[in-house]
Amino acid sequence: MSTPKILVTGGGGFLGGRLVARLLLAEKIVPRAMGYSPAGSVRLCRLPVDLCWCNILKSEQVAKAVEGCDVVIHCAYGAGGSDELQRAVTVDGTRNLAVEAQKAGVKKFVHISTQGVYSYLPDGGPIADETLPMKPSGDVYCDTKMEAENVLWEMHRNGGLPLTVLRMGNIWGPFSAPYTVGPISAIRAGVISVVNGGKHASNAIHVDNAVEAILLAVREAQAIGQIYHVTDSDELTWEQLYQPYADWIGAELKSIDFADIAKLAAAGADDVGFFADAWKNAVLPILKYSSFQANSTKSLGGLQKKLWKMTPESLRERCRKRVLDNPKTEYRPPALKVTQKVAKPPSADLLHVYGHGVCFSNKKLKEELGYEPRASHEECLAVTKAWAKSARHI
Amino acid sequence: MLKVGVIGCGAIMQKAHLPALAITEGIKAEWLVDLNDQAVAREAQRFGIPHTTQDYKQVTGVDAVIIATPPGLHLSMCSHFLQQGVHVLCEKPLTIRADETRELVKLAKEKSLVFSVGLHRRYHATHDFIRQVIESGWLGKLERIDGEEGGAFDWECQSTGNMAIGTGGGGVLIDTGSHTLDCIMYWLRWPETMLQEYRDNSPEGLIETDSEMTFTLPCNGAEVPVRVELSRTRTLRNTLQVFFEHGMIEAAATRPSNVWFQDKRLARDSEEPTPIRLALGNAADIALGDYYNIQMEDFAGAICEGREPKNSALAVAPLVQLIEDCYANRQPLDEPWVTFQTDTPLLEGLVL
Repeated sequence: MSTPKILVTGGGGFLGGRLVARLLLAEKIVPRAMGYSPAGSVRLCRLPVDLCWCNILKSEQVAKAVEGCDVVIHCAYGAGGSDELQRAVTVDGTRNLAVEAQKAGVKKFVHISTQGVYSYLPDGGPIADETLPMKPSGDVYCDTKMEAENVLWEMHRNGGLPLTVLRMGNIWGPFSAPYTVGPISAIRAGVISVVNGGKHASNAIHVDNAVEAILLAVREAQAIGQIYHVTDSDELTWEQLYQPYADWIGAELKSIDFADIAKLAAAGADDVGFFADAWKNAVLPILKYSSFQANSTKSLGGLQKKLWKMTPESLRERCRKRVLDNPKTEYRPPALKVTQKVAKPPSADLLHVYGHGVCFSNKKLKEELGYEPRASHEECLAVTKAWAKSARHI
Repeated sequence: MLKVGVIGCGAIMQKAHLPALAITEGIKAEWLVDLNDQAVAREAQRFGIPHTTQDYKQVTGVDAVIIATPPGLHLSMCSHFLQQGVHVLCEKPLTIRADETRELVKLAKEKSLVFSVGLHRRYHATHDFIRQVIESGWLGKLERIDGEEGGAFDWECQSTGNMAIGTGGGGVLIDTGSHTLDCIMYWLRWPETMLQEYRDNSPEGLIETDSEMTFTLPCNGAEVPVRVELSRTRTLRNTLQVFFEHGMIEAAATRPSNVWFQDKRLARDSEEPTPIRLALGNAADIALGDYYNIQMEDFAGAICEGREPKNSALAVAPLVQLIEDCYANRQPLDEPWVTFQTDTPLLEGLVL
């Protein structure tokens, strides 16, 4: 009996990297892991995998990557660059991969999608299953993920691509930027971090439970031709996810009413989080930034960056002096610790995710594939806390 | 005018060495070498370099070379040029193994050639200051050293050579750690170190992202304990702290002319005095890129004046030895979030 050969695209990424580690450490399978750039693959390069450098837009490189593989798990997507580049990688790259996978005769093609295909303000609810129609939102990530799904379903229907689509919820845990690192930083800075007190379904999925669902999709034959929502549970709320973060750092979880987001958005605010708490989100970070990063605006958000660039040099200098002359905020190395990191306010899109209130049920995943979270919420929190501490986020 | 061959056309060459060469008087690039034809053609045009090739052995008629290729290639390249009587400035940490470094150093000495290594932090004012405080005994006995350096890895590598163990030689330790450890060893004039423990997160000795080590080094008859933590995934403190009997000095890893200084004897009451910031040399920090210019001037000056450059490779063997010792005595780094939930396989016996 031979072990199936598994190709993981995006093997250096947040989810792909965790999947690769699980395959190696628990499943004793050496996966072929596709990486694009060294900078995006540092966590991958430490592991003894079958590493394959590949530009997903180059068919000949993709053909080489899928050669000899039984399973393709497609985690890669256009995560940076222009909208056009992101679209090319997510949509055209997915098409390339599926075409070459079919030519190579792969038996399973597991595509990692997102519940963002329903947009950040989904229709339906309060509980939605996988029959909810996808909805364009204008967001490049969500819309290109939707397009990629459409490409693959077309190939499944007309060409027999052995496709399973996993629509991931909000993935949290070690290395999660949007649902662990970002919220901790925001909570610490006193930035709004939940909507309506965090009472809504979070649709959160711990990265290790996401990996569990992926492996079930690989294992179970009946997964072919199916879509599954992947979440930890239908009951987990944002408050249950984020209150422990607040407790770890001894800070308050700050909320905004959903109705206020709509009002601010209607008034033309392009960054609701900013307008909701202008002093803390814009002015203070600029003052802090000006004291120790005078040559780079890298740590500032878009609006803060614009404000800073518009500020006359004489005023900038006064800002710097004001901060440097204040012994409480004077830069010295120990202050580089997390307490002075600049928190980016949540975008309107993220606040919509926190507040839309639709639960994308994982009932089908449980019933058809026998999914149960591999670890309890408490265990997932404990391991996330250990990582956050090591990474100096708490 | 010194004629120079430029070996390797990756990110550091494009961003730092070539611009430094272009503005340094008395030195001119004649050859540009890399396997990447496109990069070579583009950069040769940008900097007006007349000759290009894929094979460094075709480079002739030069007085010196700048080598910025992955560490695993340094031995053969340095050896080739030193044997030809060509002065060499090679990127850090020089070689993967200490015996290779010693072999090259011996060759450079025999041929009376300038042999520099790209450990440009030696030009930071902070490190001369710390060395002087240690040697003068200003703050009393040196008690311990603690270094942390880390952040998300975002270097725009032009090739994957540094990500393969055969050519890269390792991960964050051999890359960032070369600088961190060299600073510490510079203060004490490159003593022999005694490794106590080394841990990293590459179980089979590949390209680690995170590492921690403790070692001791001799200072005035005592063994001084040192702890260094490095990361390519986590933002660490990014400073070197030097603790003395009567106070401490803290230097930010990438701020070349500021240190934070504490002399406990200056306490007015029972509380320890707050560290004060000292601006060394120019009050404003010189940009980091400028240190490549300073390094290039020093290299050219050393050749013309027949002296040792400040970043001479002649004393770098203890640094390479320490890195080699670390990798040879590797223990797993405790990362519970990696080993979490890896007990029960799900795909065992799967047949598709």
